[in-house]
Amino acid sequence: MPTDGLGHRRSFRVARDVVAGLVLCLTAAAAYFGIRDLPISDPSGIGPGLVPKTVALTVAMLGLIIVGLGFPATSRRLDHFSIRGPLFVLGAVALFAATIRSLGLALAGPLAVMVAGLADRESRPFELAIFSLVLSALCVGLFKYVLRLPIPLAPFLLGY
Amino acid sequence: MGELLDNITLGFGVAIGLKNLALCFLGCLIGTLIGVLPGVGPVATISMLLPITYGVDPIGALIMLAGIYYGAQYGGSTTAILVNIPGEATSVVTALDGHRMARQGRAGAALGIAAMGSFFAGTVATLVIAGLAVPLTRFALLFHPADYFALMVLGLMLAVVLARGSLIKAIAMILVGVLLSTVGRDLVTGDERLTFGWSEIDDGIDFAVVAMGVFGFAEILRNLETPETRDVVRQRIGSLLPNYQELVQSAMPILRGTGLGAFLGLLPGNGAVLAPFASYTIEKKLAADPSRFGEGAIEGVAGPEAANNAGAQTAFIPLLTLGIPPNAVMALMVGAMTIHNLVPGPEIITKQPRLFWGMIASMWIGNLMLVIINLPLVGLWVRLLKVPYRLMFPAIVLFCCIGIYSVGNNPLDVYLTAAFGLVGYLLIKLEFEPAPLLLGFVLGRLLEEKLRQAMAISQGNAWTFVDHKLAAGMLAMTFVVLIVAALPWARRRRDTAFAG
Amino acid sequence: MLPHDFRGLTRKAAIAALLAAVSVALAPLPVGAQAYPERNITLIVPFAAGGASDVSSRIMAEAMGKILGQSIIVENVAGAGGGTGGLRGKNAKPDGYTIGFAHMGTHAASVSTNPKLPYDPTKDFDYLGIHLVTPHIMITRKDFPAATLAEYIDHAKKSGKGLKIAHNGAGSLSHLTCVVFFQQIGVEPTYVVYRGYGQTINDILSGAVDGTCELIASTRNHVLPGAVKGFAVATNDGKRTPLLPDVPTSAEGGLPTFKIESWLGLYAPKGVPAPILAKLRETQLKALDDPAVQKKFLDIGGTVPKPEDRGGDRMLAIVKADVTRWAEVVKKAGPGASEGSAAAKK
Repeated sequence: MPTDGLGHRRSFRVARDVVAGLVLCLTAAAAYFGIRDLPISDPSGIGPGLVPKTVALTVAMLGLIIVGLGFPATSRRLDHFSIRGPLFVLGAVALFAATIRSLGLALAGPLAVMVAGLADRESRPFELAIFSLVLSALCVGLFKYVLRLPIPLAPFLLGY
Repeated sequence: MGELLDNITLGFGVAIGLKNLALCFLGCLIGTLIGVLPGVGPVATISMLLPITYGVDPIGALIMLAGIYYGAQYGGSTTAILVNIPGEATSVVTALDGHRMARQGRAGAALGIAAMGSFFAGTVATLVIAGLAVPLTRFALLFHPADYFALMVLGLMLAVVLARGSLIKAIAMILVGVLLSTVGRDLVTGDERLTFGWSEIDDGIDFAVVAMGVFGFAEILRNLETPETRDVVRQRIGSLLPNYQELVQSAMPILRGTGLGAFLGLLPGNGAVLAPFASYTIEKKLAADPSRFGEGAIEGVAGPEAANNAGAQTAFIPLLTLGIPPNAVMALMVGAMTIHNLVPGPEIITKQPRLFWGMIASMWIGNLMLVIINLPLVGLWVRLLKVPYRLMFPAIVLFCCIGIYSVGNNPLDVYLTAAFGLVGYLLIKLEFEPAPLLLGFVLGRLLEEKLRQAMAISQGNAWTFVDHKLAAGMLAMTFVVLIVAALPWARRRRDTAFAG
Repeated sequence: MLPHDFRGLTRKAAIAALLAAVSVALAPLPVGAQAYPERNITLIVPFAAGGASDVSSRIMAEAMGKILGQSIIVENVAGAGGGTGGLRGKNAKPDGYTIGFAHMGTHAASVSTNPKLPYDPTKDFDYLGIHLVTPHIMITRKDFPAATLAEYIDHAKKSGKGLKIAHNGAGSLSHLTCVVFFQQIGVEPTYVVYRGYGQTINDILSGAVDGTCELIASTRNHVLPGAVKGFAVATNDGKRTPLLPDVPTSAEGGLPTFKIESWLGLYAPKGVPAPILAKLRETQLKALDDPAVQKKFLDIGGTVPKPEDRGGDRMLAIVKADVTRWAEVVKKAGPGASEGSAAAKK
């Protein structure tokens, strides 16, 4: 695994697979909770609950096994989580979702590109700003005019 | 044989007109474009172009629509290889080794072999359709829901082989994928499942949302954390085409993939989706050194790409001869045909020989055009990788956002993709792999539906899976695959335990 | 707006005319319909691209757009079984630049089958009119042991649970059609549920299930060449449909109460200015008279409505009647027929 050679990174003092197994168990528990009322069988044979419930229970079981296998002292530690990347990249995506229908591609596009770009420590704000405008113009041409997708352009200005 | 030759001649006579060639080219070009753009699928594009085709004669219209379909299939692989974003279920496998190859500076070889493999598979599949469409007509009908269920179980088992690391974690991911596929209103009873009262996701979660989140966005987050690996991409760019040794390595996988794909494409309900997965599994099992798979093995691109294209092609058989559309694009083709007053079905061959054979000839021409369009593009794509990553990834983010939005013209899908991006990031940190999850997600829904159909038809009698010989055989095979997969893992586990 | 020739006018009249023209040009929003439409119109289709609903919408969008001199762009907003698109249509600005697609499922049956429907079809929309109708039909596998509807019913009664009928999911039009038919003949078959007609037809052709209940728009391609048998075309007037002239109607077969015709139509959000609404309705009517539109509809398995069933007011009346009708059907069928039976029990 190529990413393991990063000695300088901090890591949590827990075994990765213990966390992995627990996450699976939690997922399974949440899923089971979401379908607890569904019957396993019904007059036509199989009810809506059978497959998801069986699968959820199996996932929980596998989760426990993974926890068990992950306990030895030699297990790998959980790698550290960075905040900057997920915050800016996924934040940019969410921002795009929030603005596309009101501001349209003309503004939501550059906004998303600029915010996403900040995720990189090497980013250069001026270059990024220019790039975001050029790229968005390109996308408007491509999606709006070549492919004729019904994506809002600038509703506050043009009405569509 | 002579008759076949006559028919093919007739077909080429129809397809080779200047106008039809132009339409075929246009279709392939549009298809490649939308295939490359993440999220923008052939279904939306074809329906958008449908009104434009009213003005064209039926043969020309279908030739163009078919061109979009193959073009999109091929274009999707390009994105999967270059930026690790599988636009469709079938390119998930291509992303595994294809993107790894791109990171090693072998993007040209990966793209090249994908084009060549697809072309070869397309040629063979076209011949299969031409020669065997009539005898194979009833093939799709041999599959009972019970058999189909067994096939899906076998397919899910194969997914285990996709995993590079832990077997048990791969199985867990498949099952989480299955669980994810049950989200939404239950088809049979209408009960909401796993929606937690949120009716916006009643219709389930779109494949593109999950794939772009756990593959595309998570890949960006991974690259941002490890600047060391991402720089490799822009510094070393190898040859633009596969070298002799790579061609030799790919020959057999392409042959086997073509056979598999051609077979699975005949199945109803989009059996072709299994083809690339099955091909990957077989190649990994047959390889002298399976550990190369997942680290940039060219066979892992060549085989699945051939399988994918062959399957996409033979999927036309149930459509043309029975009027059964195996997937959404094909359903649209039926729509296009009926709008042009053509009724797909057994009579289409006898009543509309010009159309039938013209389309078959155009399929081959379409495949040829894809190679002609795409081989020169390889250079362009590879050069795109030279764009500094600090600009590349915001661009990918924007294209993904637009693509996802256009899937349902709904901002909610974009939010959901961001959420799945976070899930993908978590998966990386916990060393879970996304490919088995996606396969579970794709097959899970079919698996449950077929199970319930089979049980309803047999009125609750589970022996139906034994009574149907195909089903029984495939379930037995699943069991064997499971044991074969588990043995080396168990052995390895023991060895490492002793070593540690 | 400006008169062609100024020379014949007095100075005063010319200035007055100019002022009038300027004030028209400067008016923030044209109240009249003369200026409408000045830009593209969006047509919201609450389903993914590709189905009959989508195709019929695109045919209408093209025809109406030509008459209005502006493009009508179809926007597929799938989700929540049509609820997401319907909600967006309801909440759109009522300026005539957003219209929407409705059919018997989304704007009548849904009231009973979807407890969380986010709009009220009888109140939230200004309907433009129905553009396509397609009767429902019962089909069976080719070797089904019945030639007439009477024999079908006999066989169904004898088989009971042994009769395997496919449908396309809880609350779908296919499902509701089955419920109506089997309520009327007093049989409770075994239902096998598929995701869409494409999968259903596969298992009918292979003989794994006996038949299904569907729209002619879906089944016509298989009934016409005789790949499946058609029974009981459920036309409202009991007359045969030009779509399948050789298949007897339910009235001919002795079950005149089995009448279901699906309708597909367009709406605008409530509150569109009267002149604009009038223009949209007039355009919709004009499009129906277009022989090219009529032919395309025939090809996809539907017909334009009869003259007396056209127009927005008539559509509202039909919506209201069908809301009541499906409420009764679903109530009679019990919780199993509606979506969310478990949720309803809570």
